[in-house]
Amino acid sequence: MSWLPTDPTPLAFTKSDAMPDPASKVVTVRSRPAMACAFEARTLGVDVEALEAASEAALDEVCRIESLLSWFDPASEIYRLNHTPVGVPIQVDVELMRILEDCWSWYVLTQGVFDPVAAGALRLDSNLKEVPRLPDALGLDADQRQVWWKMSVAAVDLGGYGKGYALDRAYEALRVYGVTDALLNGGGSSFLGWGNGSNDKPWQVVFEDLSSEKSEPVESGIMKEKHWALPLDGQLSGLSFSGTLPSMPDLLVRSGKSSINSNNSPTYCAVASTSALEAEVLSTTLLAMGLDGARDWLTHEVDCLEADPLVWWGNRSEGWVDLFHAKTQRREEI
Amino acid sequence: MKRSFNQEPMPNPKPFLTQWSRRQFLASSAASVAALSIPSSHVPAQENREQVRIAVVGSGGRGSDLIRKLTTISTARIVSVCDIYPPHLERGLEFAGAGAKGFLDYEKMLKEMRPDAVVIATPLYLHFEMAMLALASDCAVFCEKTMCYSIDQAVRLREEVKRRNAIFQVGLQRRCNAIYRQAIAMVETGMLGRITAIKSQWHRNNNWRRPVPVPRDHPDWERLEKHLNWRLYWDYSQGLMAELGSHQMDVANWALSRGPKRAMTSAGIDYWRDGREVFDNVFCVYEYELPVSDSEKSAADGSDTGSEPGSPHSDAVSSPTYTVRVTYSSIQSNAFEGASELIMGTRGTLLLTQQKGLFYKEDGPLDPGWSQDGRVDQDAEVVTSGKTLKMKNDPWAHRGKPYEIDSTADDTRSELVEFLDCVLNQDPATPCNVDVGYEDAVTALIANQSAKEGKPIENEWS
Repeated sequence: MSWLPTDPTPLAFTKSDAMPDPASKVVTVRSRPAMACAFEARTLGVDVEALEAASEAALDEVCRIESLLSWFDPASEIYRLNHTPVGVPIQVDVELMRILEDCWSWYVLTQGVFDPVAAGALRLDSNLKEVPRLPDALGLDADQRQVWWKMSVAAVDLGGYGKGYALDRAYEALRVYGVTDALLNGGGSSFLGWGNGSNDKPWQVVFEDLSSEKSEPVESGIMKEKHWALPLDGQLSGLSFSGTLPSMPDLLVRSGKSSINSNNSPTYCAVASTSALEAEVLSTTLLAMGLDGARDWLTHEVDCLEADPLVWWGNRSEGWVDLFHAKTQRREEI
Repeated sequence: MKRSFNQEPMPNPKPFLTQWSRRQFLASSAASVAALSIPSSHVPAQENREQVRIAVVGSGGRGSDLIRKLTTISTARIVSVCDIYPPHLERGLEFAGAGAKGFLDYEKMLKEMRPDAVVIATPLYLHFEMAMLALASDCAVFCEKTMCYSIDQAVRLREEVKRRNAIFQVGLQRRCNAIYRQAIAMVETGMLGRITAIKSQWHRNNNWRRPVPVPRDHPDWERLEKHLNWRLYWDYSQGLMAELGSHQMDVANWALSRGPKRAMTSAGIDYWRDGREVFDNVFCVYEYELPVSDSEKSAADGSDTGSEPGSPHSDAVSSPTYTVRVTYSSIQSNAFEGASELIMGTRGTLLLTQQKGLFYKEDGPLDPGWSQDGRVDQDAEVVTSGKTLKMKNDPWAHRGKPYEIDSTADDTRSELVEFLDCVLNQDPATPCNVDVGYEDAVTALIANQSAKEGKPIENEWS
């Protein structure tokens, strides 16, 4: 008995056989749900099969980071750490140890404003009167790769940090496979782009403010850097960076609700840097510091930053109020 | 056909890879941590545990995962990593941490390092040869699924493991997943009644390709393509059945306590016609033969009036066995159903994934609510005429509300913890021993044989 043809049907098309036409560049898009949002890889090139395979590898890397840092997944290392009793050391892998050390360095650099332990504790109990801080709550032994809790009601929450770290790792994965033009999008709030987008021009991302008091988006901006990462914290009411609004942007971002600062005023901050992780950490911490505090902090600590990030600052009533280079403090016209 | 790992190392495409370490941010930040002086903390006292010296061979995607898990287990010490592809070797060594030595040559690694245990995460066609060499070096072996490329190899490997009474475990991690263990316990205690069918699938919507890091016209492209995309070529791989199906057919074998009697498969390359050789669309039907239990025989011959819904007819007495049919499909052009197993019994259904298990009880005899309570003085049941049932639009309403079983930990890490415990205790009773691995390999491989030969294949090997 046989219900199958003896030979497979001749292949209708064989993409692998021929080199694609170098002139016919296309944009491929692959996406994956991860870290409670959609991660997307857009790539520009001629070999669609290779671009898609590279994009899948980059998104695999994002999912791998999620499985390492997830707050919810019982299989993640962070979940294991967060569910370890006080005083019991656990051995963590090389990568998580580096991440925790890096968080520690950010904690020190930002004078405690960046604190994934405080964030984790507040996530467990938002009414905590005494919020545990990283150095008091978490013990680290880098040589033994061991970590332990020094107090209860403590947990690590690497939400934003994880997104930036995942984007950087996805970037590395794409570069390994020779992708020269790509835009990575982490849930519409973090972007990492390099090279060109459609029409062989730099990737163009337009930000639209849907929650503006005016009925239509009135201000938009375009990121046209060759290589940038832009995590957004708070509401963006407009980014006027490059001038003219393109008719066909690569991506149109509709912003969410704004953060509320200590004066109960909606405030927003965006940071562009060469590293998504750095931009992600800075956009969170600078917002928490407030504009004056942020400028003061940048004056003293900016040498520790990798590049010279661009910082946008705005609030609901005035729109963008400041745009400056973190290192040089040089102001850009808004 | 290439059948040996004794081959030249793969070309290192790094010259084509710019900025692999773009910014060295983590490294520099680690240095800054030292400069910023983390207050030294004393590690809380803990039990000093013996460690297993482990060599890992194959540090691609899965091998790297295993390395990372191993480095979180206090009883593991990775002493060496071997891979013939330099970027994978470097990645494996990076994850293994300080102290692990890199090798391109597997036999040299075994001789030089003399590990206690070897973890094999290479392409399928290398499993047998590498496992045999590790056994010959008196190593315990953790071999990724599927255990072997061919049934003949599986027969020989099982004989060798038994002859040596070696510690041997196959990487079927569902065997160490709390959800699946709970599910099998429920099956064994009869909560599902008689299992009559199992339906499982792993559906995805991608091309299953790994990117090749050189342009297509590069002289190394073809060699790297075969090396990195080995899953797509019959010389190295047994396709979807070995890479995905083996996990889920093992669940069927586990739930039914045996392998199948026969397999019928229809498969082809139906969508991804990109030069691959293995099927991208596989549908299998397996038949399992199980003995009728004593309690079922009693129920069937009238000596027991048990409440089993839909008890089999009395011919169960004359027929000592019954058939369970198991379907499995794996496609690569639609991910709607994802990966799951559905174990269907006369009393209930288990829907299983690695993250969640759901148990649905079967409804008893339909109670439309017509009966009146309190009329016990009459033999006949009193019904209200003309009462209409309340209908729902939800097509799944009949399923009812499930009981949930939650995951508690990473099953890959759990399987490695249990393997290492077996090594330390010199206990060959691993949670997924060579018999399990053998039955699983046979189950996966006869499905491919059926598809290639276009006929049902009797399982002569169980």
